[in-house]
Order: sequence, then C-alpha cells, then structure tokens
Amino acid sequence: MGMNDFWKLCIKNKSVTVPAIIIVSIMLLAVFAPMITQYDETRQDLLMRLVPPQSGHIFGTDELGRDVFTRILYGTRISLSIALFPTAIAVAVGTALGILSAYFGKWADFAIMRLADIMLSIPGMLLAMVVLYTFGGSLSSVYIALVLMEWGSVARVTRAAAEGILENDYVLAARAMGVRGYAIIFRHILPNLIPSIIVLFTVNIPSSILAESALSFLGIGIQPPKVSLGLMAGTSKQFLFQMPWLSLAPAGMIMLLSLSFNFLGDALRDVLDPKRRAV
Amino acid sequence: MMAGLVRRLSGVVLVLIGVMLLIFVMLRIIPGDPASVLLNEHVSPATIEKLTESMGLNKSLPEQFWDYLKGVLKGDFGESYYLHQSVNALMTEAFPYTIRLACMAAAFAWCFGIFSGIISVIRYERLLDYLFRGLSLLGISVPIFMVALFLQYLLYYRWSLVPLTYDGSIFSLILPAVVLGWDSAGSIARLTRSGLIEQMGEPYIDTAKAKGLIHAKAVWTHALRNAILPVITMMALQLSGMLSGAVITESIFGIPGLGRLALTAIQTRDMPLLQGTVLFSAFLIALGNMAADIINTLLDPRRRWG
Amino acid sequence: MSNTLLEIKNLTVSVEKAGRLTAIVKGVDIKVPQGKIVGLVGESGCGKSMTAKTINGILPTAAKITDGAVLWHGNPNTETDLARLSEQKLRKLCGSQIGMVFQEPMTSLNPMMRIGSQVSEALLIHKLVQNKKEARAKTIRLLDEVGIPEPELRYRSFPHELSGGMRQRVMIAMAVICEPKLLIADEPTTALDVTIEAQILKLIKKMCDAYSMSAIVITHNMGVVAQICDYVYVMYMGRIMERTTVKRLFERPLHPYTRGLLASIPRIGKNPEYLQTIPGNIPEIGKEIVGCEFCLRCSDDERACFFEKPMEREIEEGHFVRCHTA
Repeated sequence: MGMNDFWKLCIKNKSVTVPAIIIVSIMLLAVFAPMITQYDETRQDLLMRLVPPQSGHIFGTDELGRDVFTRILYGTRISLSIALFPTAIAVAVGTALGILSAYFGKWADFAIMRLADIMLSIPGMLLAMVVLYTFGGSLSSVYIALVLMEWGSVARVTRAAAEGILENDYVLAARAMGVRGYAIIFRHILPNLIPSIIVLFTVNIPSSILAESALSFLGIGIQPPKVSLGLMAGTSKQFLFQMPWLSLAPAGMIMLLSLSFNFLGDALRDVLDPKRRAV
Repeated sequence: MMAGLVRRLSGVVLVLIGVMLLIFVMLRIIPGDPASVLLNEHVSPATIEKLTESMGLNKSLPEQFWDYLKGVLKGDFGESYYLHQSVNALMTEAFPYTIRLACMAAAFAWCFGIFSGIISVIRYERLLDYLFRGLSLLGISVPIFMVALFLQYLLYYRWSLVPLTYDGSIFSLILPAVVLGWDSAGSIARLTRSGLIEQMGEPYIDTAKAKGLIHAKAVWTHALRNAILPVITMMALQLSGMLSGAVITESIFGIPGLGRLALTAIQTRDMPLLQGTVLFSAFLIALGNMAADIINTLLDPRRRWG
Repeated sequence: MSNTLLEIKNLTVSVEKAGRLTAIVKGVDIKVPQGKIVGLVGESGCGKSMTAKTINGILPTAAKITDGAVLWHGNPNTETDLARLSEQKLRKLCGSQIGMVFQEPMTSLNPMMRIGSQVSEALLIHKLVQNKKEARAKTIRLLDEVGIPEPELRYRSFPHELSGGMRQRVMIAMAVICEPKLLIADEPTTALDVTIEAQILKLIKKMCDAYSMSAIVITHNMGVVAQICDYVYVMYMGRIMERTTVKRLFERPLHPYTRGLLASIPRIGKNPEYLQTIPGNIPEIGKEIVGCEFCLRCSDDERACFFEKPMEREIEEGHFVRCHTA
C-alpha cells in the first residue's frame, strides 16, 4: 500500500480519527498549560498542603501544597516528549539497521541481528536500570534507556518486511538491470515501508510511556524538581488510603494516553492489513 | 533436529557472552572509582588502594572482564559491595520468592488470556468480544503500579479481603500475582484473538464448516491448534521475563525477590549485584526462547519432518 | 419434479462494498435431479462459487443472501429452505447429507491435524458411528476406496506429507464419508496437474455412482463438464445464460458466450496457430449494465442487447437460453 492510499483510508476511518483527536487535545492541553492554569507546577504553598479536591484545586494539592491538576498538565508534557522523541529515535535507528540488514545480508545482517538479540534478551526494565545506574536518573538517561530498549524489535520487524519487498519481482528486475544501493533503498524499500513504520511508531509509544512512568514511580527515573506523572504517583502512594486521587489521578492520565495510542495503533494496523479484521 | 539444536545452542552462547560484555562495559562507561564511592572520604588513601586491589579494580578492563568471565563460568558472580555477601547467595535466597510469584502470575495471565481470546472469537463482534477486547486493551495500557495501587485501595483498604503486602503466605501472593500477570494477560488475549481471527479466514475452516462443525467448534478444534504456536512463544518469553524479577510488583508488595534485589542494587550503586541479576535474567530469557523453539518444533508437524 | 434433490430458486447474493450492496449472483435457478451430476460453468468471478457456498452456508461475512430460496428435498415430500435454516440445523445437514470438495487441497486441509482425524471427524460429529474405533475402520476403508495406497499408514499422516492429487482424494473421502445425498465440488481439479485431473474426475464419478449421490461440479473448464456432467448451467456475471443437457450443449450451443467457451478449448488437429478466445474482459463488479450482461463482448449483438435484459426462453424442450439473438 502506498502512502496516499494509507492516508486516505486513515482519514475516513473513525477508529483512527477518534483516538487521534483525543491525543491532539491532550497535546494542546500540555502545550498551553501555562494559559490553562494559574499555578506554577513547582511553587509550594505550605499553608495549602494536602487539600482535597475543591474549586480552585480540582484534584487538590499534594504534601507540599502544589496544585495536582497543574502538575498533571506539566507531567503530561514529559510523557508526551517521552512518547515522541526516544520512540522516534528508536524507530529511526531500528528501521535503518533493519533495512541495512536485509539489503546487505551476510556479515552485516549477522552482526546487526545478533546485536538485536543481545538487546532483546535483557528484560527492558533491567536494561533501563543498567543505563540509569551509569548515567544517573534524569530525562536524558531515560531517553537513552528507551532507545536501547526498543530499537531491537523494530529492527527485527523492518528487516522481515524489507526482505519481503526485496523479493518482489520488480525489485529483482531493478537489481538485475544494475540499479544498486541507495536507489533500491530509497526508491523501493523505504516508500513501501512507511505505513508499517508509522504503525510501529504508534504501537511503541504506549510502551515508552509506561516504561518511563514505571522507572519514575520507583524513584530511579526522572528526578524532582522535574514533574513526571509516574514520579507523582510514586511519591503520593504514601497517602493512597487517605487521598487516593493523589496517585490515581496522574496514573489515570498515563492510562488515558497509552490507551489512546494503543487504540490508534490497532486502528492503523487494521487499515494497513484489512485481512486481520475479516472472519 | 539435533543439528538445529546445536546451532541454536551456539547462538545462545554467543548472545549470552555478548550480553555479558555489553553489561560489563555499560556499567563502566563512566570512569569512577567504585572503591572510593564505597568508603567515605575520611579514609586514608592506603585503605582505598587496598580495597581497590582486593576488588581487582587495579587491573585493565579486558583483564577484569576475563576474570569476571572465568568466575561466571564457574558459577561465581562476585561479591556484593553493599551487602557484603556473594551475589550467588543473595540470588539463591531471592529466587524462590520470585519463582512462586511468577508461576502464580503466569497461571493467572495464561488462563485468563487464552480463555478470553477464544471467547472473543467465538462471540465475534458481540457483547463478550467487546468486553474482553476492552479488558485486554486495559491490560496493556494501564501502568502496572496503578493496578497495584487501585487493587490495594479497593481490596485491602475498602473491603479488607487481602493483606496489604506479602506476609509469607501464598494467600498474600494472590494480589501481587494478579498485578504482575495483568499486562501479560492482555497481550496473550490480544495475540490469541488476532491469531484465531486470521486462522478463521483460512480455507480449511470452510472445509470444517462444510463438514458440519458449528462456528464455536471450528474455533476450538481447528483454528486454535494453528493459532497457538505464536502464543506459546510469547508465553515462554513472559515466564522468563517474570522469573527474572518483577521490579515494580515486588517493591510495592515487599516481596524479597530478584526484582527487589536489582532495585536495591541500583539504589545502593552495587555494581556486582546489578550485573549478576541482569546476567541471570538474560540467561533465563535465552532459556525461555529455546524452550519456545523446541515446543514449537515438537508441535508443528511441518517442522518436525520438514 | 418429484425426483429433484435440490432446487435453487431465484437466488440473489449481494456483497457489501463501500457501504453499497452489489449483487454478484442474480436470480439464479438451478435444479439438481436425484443421482445426476450438474455442471456449473463460467469464468472466475462469475458467482459460481458463491452460488455453491450458499448451499451449505459458508458465504464470506461480507456476502448476504438477499433473495430467493435453496430448497432441499432430503426426503421425498419434505422441503427445507436451506437459505433460511438456522445455523445449528444447517450444520446438521452439512457433512451428513451435503458434502463438499474444495479447490485448493493444499490449504483446505488443516495443516496441524492428521489425515485420519480430519476424514473421520464428520462421522463423529454426526454420530454415525458408535465409537472411534469404528470411525477409524470406516475411514481406512474409504481411504482405500478413493485410491490412497497404504491407507493405514496415511491415516496418521499430516497433509503436507501428501501430493496434491492425494490430498484431493483425501478431500473427496472426507466429503463422502457420511454418504451424503449431494456432493458439491468447487473447481475440484483446477489446482491439480492435468495428468491427475482425469483420475480425480473419474473418482468423483465413481463415488457418485457407488453411493447414488447427486453432484454439483463447479468449473471453468468445458472439458470437465464433457467428462462427467449430465446437465450444464452456463453462468456469466451472476446470471445463468444457458442451461440444458451436456449432450445438447455440445451439439448445439445457442448462447454466444457458450459458443465462445466451447471454441476456446484447444483441440488437436485444428489449426494450432490460432486458439480462439472471447474478446474483452469481464466488466468490473458493481458496474450497472442496462442490457444483456454479455453485450460488450458479444460477437452478434443487436440494438436490443444494449437496452433490454434478455428473458430466459425455452428454445427446445429442456434447453433454455437468455439471449436476444439465439
């Protein structure tokens, strides 16, 4: 399927547009957070500590008197940046290596795929912990950890897809006529892979979001004073029984985000491969 | 099949050595002196030197790796900086807790996942399908700590049905097992469902229906055995993943398993301990991969004789 | 007709495509007399497979029966409309009274199941045997009958271990194991080598005689029709264009489409340089055609062909044709 057909089918499909609209709305909320809320995400107000939800503080305040709603909006920024940048880098790196692996074969294929095997045989959480041990808990080390966690499976999938394309008669014909290297990769492989790349990107986003929130929840990911949804849930879990919203509200935001991306990913995959839907 | 097994085995060994090298280098990218980190700054340089030497840190990196490799081959993962015990002993002590938790979680995830995947296809596009699809989507979308906190709030605080944390009894492991199995159940359900749907479009299903099988029976007796192979692969990977330590679940419920050990290791900057747990889990994953491959080969007649 | 086993009446099947219903089978009438073999001939995509699949209710989900009836006279004096039967009741009939052989013996057998259990399955579902042992004995006997060497050994084989011809024999055994009254064969030889084709056709004929079955054979190949059928229906774009006995059709084809099909059979001795074909292509599905469906490719068209649908006319006794010029 070419890019144009894919795009047209997506716009017509409600199960694509609805989650896409939700995601865009959340993005707008996060981007325009300073205009939506009057509070500062880090300013403490010790007179207003642990205030239950009320007008002015719709999710109440935390143990340092910071407005929880404001902090959720700012935390969403981190989650979204996590969703976009490291995932995009992982998908780009994985795609490039997957294509190279399929195109060159032989020792390049062997080396790249064994490297992917190595990465994939370490549980994601532990791999991330190794990275965080070395570089310390911060946004950039979480980025590095996520890229390392995800590129391997992307490379495996794109390699398989690229191999399928390389076996097509028109590509064989082009190669037989002496078309080489970049021309094959950029004219034949890449354009045909783009829809699958978009799907891969979308389905990897929720796992990135969840991984970041888990690391921050444990206190080894993003560090205060930066605001992360996982970190908020982790520090507030001591108030779980008295004020459950303090940890469940940010967790709910994570859920909403990853649910929307999962819906979107499913719908995009159905558009790409309609056979999966038919019984 | 024997030749294939040998080839796979050598691949596994290669990957495991790769993992070891990677972890070894990654943990040492930042130059720093672990010995001085461990001791406080008032200690005399002579003491630091002595400790450095006893830890083998005065040797070059390749030499250190060689020593470590030799140790691991003998089954010795070194000694923990912080807990002053051998990493082996610590892991042997923690592993049974993790095994118990992982087995319970896997049992929950697989029964629920496969069952709901099958029901979804039998009741395709009906109420139960939507219900189970929604549940499995929640399974892979809800952060695991949210499941834990939510269930703790509800089942412990509100209804007092279960203990808050692990108290040594199997009963107190039920909640952690559900939490740990939660997302695995979701992915198993989704894979089972999509595999079955794909199989239900195959011509042999028409044959089965022409023979007189009703839809549900065609799912059970014909489609399932074809759709189950990738599910088994996923199951093996999930089990080995859970066995290598559930960091979040174990830390929330206070289970002294491998995941907690890894978390302690990173919190106390205990390099040998972290290195040991990561290597051990890579070993488990490789084992799981191989188990899945063997089971698949045994179950698929085309591969058995092909 | 009292000895009619199956009567398809005015059957219309539509497919939903982009939210619009498009008829792909248009008012088809077919009669299958007791003990006879009926051929349904047409190019691929003309709706012949869809027609067959309505009989045992295995239409793809996108396709719906929008009109007509499929009347089954399993016992004399009773009449069941298969198109309106509940799924449960229809499945009881399928396999036990109606057997089906599919086009692709490769994919139509379950790759993960042994031949024996696939063949004997129908016996067990329809409870025609007391126990598994009896089912096994009967299956092995039948495998032998359809010409599978070493049936005991093959009973435990998996489909991929058999050749295409052998697999199609297995399919036939599977279809007839409950001794059904009707056998539907959907392009039974298309996927096979030409050398195997004749054997399989002979086998189908033999089984029909042995179990006094009726059969519907779907094919695009006039040669197949000539070899085993008694009656023939020629289908084009979802409509029956001509129907009569095989003998008459080959002696005196009336519809230009039938003549085209017959002329495109290669024959030894005729001018080998020139193989006649039917010009043009089948129009796209869903395209509205006012006149005769075949008018665009027809050699002897008249004005009426483009503006008026031809009605079915009986030219001679038992020879019907839907054409303005015939």
